[in-house]
Amino acid sequence: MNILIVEDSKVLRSSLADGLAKLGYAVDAVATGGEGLDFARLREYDTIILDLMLPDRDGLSVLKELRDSGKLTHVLILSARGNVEDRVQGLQLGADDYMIKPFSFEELCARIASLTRRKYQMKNPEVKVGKIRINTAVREVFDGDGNIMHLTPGEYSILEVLVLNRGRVLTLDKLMDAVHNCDSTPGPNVVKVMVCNLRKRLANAGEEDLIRTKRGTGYYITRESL
Amino acid sequence: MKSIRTDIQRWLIIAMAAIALAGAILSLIIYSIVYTHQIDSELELRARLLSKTISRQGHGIRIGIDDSDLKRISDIGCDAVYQIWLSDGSVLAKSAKLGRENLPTSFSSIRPVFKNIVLKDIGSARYICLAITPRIALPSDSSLGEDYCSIPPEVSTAGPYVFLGLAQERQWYSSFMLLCIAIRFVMILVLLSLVVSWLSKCIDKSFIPFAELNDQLLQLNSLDLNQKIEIDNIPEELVPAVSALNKFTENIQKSFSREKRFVNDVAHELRTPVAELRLACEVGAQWSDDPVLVRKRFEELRQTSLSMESLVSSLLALRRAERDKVVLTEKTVYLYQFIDKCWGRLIQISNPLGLVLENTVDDSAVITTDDEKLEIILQNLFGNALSYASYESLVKVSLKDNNNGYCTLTISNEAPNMKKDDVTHIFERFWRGSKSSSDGSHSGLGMSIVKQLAEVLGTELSADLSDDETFSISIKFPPGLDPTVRVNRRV
Repeated sequence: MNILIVEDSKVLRSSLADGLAKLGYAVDAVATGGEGLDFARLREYDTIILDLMLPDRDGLSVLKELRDSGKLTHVLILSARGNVEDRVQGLQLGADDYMIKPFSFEELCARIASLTRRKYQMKNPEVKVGKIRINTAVREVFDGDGNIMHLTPGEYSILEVLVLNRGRVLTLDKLMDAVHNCDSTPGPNVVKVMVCNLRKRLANAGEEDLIRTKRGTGYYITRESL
Repeated sequence: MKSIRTDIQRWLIIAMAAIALAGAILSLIIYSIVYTHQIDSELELRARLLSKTISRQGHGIRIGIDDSDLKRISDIGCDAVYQIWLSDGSVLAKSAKLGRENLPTSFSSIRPVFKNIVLKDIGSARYICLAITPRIALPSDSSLGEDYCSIPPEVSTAGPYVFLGLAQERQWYSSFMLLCIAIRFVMILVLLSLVVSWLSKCIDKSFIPFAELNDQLLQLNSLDLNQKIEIDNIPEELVPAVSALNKFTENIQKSFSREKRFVNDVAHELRTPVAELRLACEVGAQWSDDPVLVRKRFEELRQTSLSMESLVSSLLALRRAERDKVVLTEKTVYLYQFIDKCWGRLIQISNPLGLVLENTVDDSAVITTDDEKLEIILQNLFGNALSYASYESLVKVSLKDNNNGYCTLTISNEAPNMKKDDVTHIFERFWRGSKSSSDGSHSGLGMSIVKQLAEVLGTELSADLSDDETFSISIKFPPGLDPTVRVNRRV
């Protein structure tokens, strides 16, 4: 899952990026509205966390420009402005959620997960794939016996993106996007190693053929697996 | 509860009662004087009539008075008694009614003597004692029923040598006087009651504006002090008080609004650092086994704490500057050296852009002002320059004599990231330039503090951004503004 953070506070930006990256999200973090727009145009993000009071321009204008340009990325506004008018205005301009500072990191993660589910039209945060279950709300994977499978954040992100896009072949680039963040950009080989490791862990859980390879194209999970 | 209206009415009644009493007493005195004079005149007239009945015959006095004559000469039929003496005090004759009692001997040969006396039979009476010289008896005078008394040889008959005392009952007079006074008193009381009643109504009417004012005051809502008391319909005596009250509530409202805005601003400003602290703590706690991440969070916590410390210091400085009464401690300040000192202190701490000060102020320029407050102003202005100016550029300080008694101190620097629109917001609380808001090193209060302190020092502050991206702040010092600032003209 890709997340773009547009936040002028250096500390908030850094903590958010680190925390979300630890959870396996691919995070890009920028300080200004202009940079945010540039990043949003260049990459396809699952969620954009947008501050309203940015040094160069108002966050609401960034949101409006995004929507005017046809971008449907989910936007979560994160602002110190907590008035009803501000919240209503933000939501009316196309934001999908609104959080007021200070906020709980846990709640923010839950809302991001909720937005992700909404993107893939899922009501239930728990997805069953063969014998294993994936809880997208807490970002945990369970084997057939109900034991937690200890995946690295990158492995989880690859599994989650494959499950949420089940039936579709995802290219290596797409998988790279899912595990990419602004500090480190894994190459295709790293992603291949991650997929390999993920397959081994799934095999241990009794799901050897869950992730399939489309030679020369990418990886996929069949719809029948669900 | 004390009521002005009741007080006025009470004092009015007391005053009216006092006037009524004084009027009654005055009328008593006037009546007494007037009637006494009239009665005395009549009494003297009667006494003189009686004296005509006394005549001298040879070496004796013939007295033709009878008690029945007294009734006859009294037109109102009062009881009267008489007594006649010779100048040696010997009684020649007296009314039978007196019996063994005598009328008082108040002899005066010059004028009649009047007295109020009390007699056994008559009671209170008005008395006159008249000195007379009896006429010579005529042959035609009847001798019947008349007493004849011889005059002792030692009695001189050269002047008045017979005294006639006549006392007339005055009970009727006293009663008449009392009746008159009572009537007068009642009339005055009735009149005064009417006056009091009318005045009470006038007072009630005069108090209607007070009642209306009370209604308006009761309608004042402590949550909305923007309401004003209408002064159109109130008496002009109350206008200053009501105007003062309106001004007072307006000031309170302004103060409330300022406080509310201040609290809102502060609360809003604190949201982000609090969010930073909370997030850093939560992320650090969740991945406490990652030493790199935890160290990073600690560093962020430190940075945020320092920012908050700076914010709190700025808020306190602003609060101190905004106090209504700021104590100014005047000192003679040598501007050139003072500017150099302020700049030196700042660049000792940090000068990341490598700025250089160009101080063109004359080294003999002197002003008398509060040096501590001026230093805060300069440090904030230099601090802004150190953050926003171009790399390795100049910070220029100059002092201009405006030739009208004013002097203007100008601090200017290059500000490549500044826009014209920024100048209009620069003195607003919590307004930050684009750079400061992103690095969190500025609270956005510095220029507000500068503005506040400049006002305290009695100076005029203005900001300008020229087309060549030079940002300048000018502080205009007024001439001889005692005790705030005095400018020595040795510029």
